[in-house]
Amino acid sequence: MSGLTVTIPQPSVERDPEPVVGAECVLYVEDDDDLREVVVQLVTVFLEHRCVGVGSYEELVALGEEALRCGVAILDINLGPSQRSGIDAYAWLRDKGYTGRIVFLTGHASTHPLVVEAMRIGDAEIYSKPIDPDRLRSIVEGRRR
Amino acid sequence: MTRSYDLAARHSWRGAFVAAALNAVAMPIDFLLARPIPKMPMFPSAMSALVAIGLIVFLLIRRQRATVRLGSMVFLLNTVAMLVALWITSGYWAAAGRAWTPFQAHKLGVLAVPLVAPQLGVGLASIAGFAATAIGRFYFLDPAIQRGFPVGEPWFVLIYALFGGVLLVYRVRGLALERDMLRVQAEAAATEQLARTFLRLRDYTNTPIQTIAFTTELLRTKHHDLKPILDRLGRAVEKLTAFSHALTRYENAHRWSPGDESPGALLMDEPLFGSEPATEVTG
Repeated sequence: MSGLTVTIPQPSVERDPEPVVGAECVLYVEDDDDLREVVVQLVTVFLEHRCVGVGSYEELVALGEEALRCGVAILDINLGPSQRSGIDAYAWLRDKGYTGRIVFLTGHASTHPLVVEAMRIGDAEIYSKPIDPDRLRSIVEGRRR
Repeated sequence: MTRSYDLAARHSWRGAFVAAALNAVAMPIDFLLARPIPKMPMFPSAMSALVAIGLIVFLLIRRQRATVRLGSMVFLLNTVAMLVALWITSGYWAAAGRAWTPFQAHKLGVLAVPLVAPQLGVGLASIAGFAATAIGRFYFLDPAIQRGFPVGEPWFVLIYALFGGVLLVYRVRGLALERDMLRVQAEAAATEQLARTFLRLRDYTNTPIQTIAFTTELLRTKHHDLKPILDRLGRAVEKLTAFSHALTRYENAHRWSPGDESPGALLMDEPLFGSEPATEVTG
């Protein structure tokens, strides 16, 4: 047998080992790898919720039903250059019948066109980075600000 | 970017150039028209035109280093050359004994100065020069010739001078207003640029600050012995967060353009941190 190795690229999805179900699960869409990983760990360890982190709209779509089963979705608005935005992710979730809570987390100015567009969405909350861990807890546990 | 002073220098250079060009063209024509006048010398017109040509060459050489002062000096020299020439030639016109409209060139000069004068002072001096030489020349003429002048001459030139002065003030103030508007626009553009830079800086740093804040909290839950160190890190994050919030004041000062609003907007469209390569901003 030759030494040929085929590597199949996998989406950068961080998750805890057990299946995710219902309000105990948090979906986090963030293109910054470091932040995504630390939020997944923080939600899992500190807040004791299950958390699924994906880095792009495409990864979210690939996640499919698993994403739709989460009770809270935290979406970064700007998911990188030439990439679908968090608003696209929001639209996909709602189109697929997602009924959970959706929160946008952004580092952009409130006057940024994408943020303005997100503000027009009636059933989504928007938070500006950086937020403190207590705020993250309140988001995950479903408390409104 | 065109600065206010650059514009003033350019106006000054252009005004002096046009004035010299008019002199270079008009004085030879004046000589040709005066050929029927007995003994009309050629040298005044030739001298004035040659001075004008010399000034044009000088202006072209100094074009890239034009200043208001340079334009004003050239303009004044050109005016003096014309006044000397007209002083001489108008004497021959007056003494010719033919029907003559006195001091037409002076009156034309008085009305041309407001259109091309580089500065108010230079323009007023030139207008005064044209008017004064006309009147002065009149009183240097033989009294018999003076009596042959139309009624009211040479004082009509003062009315021209009044109109010329008003036109000059009007034009100079218009130019000053234009320069002020240019300055205000330049300042607004600089403010906009600063706001855009600050906002991009803020957007760029918010995600790393968030990462540090959450990482600190994560470490806090796992390593209680690191509390003093993590407290310090936490305080540093608080200061960075306060700094980020302070930059929100620039949100309203920046108008987002199509290039800015795309997710692919680059932080380094304009160099922010020296000559480092462009970095994509996300978050």
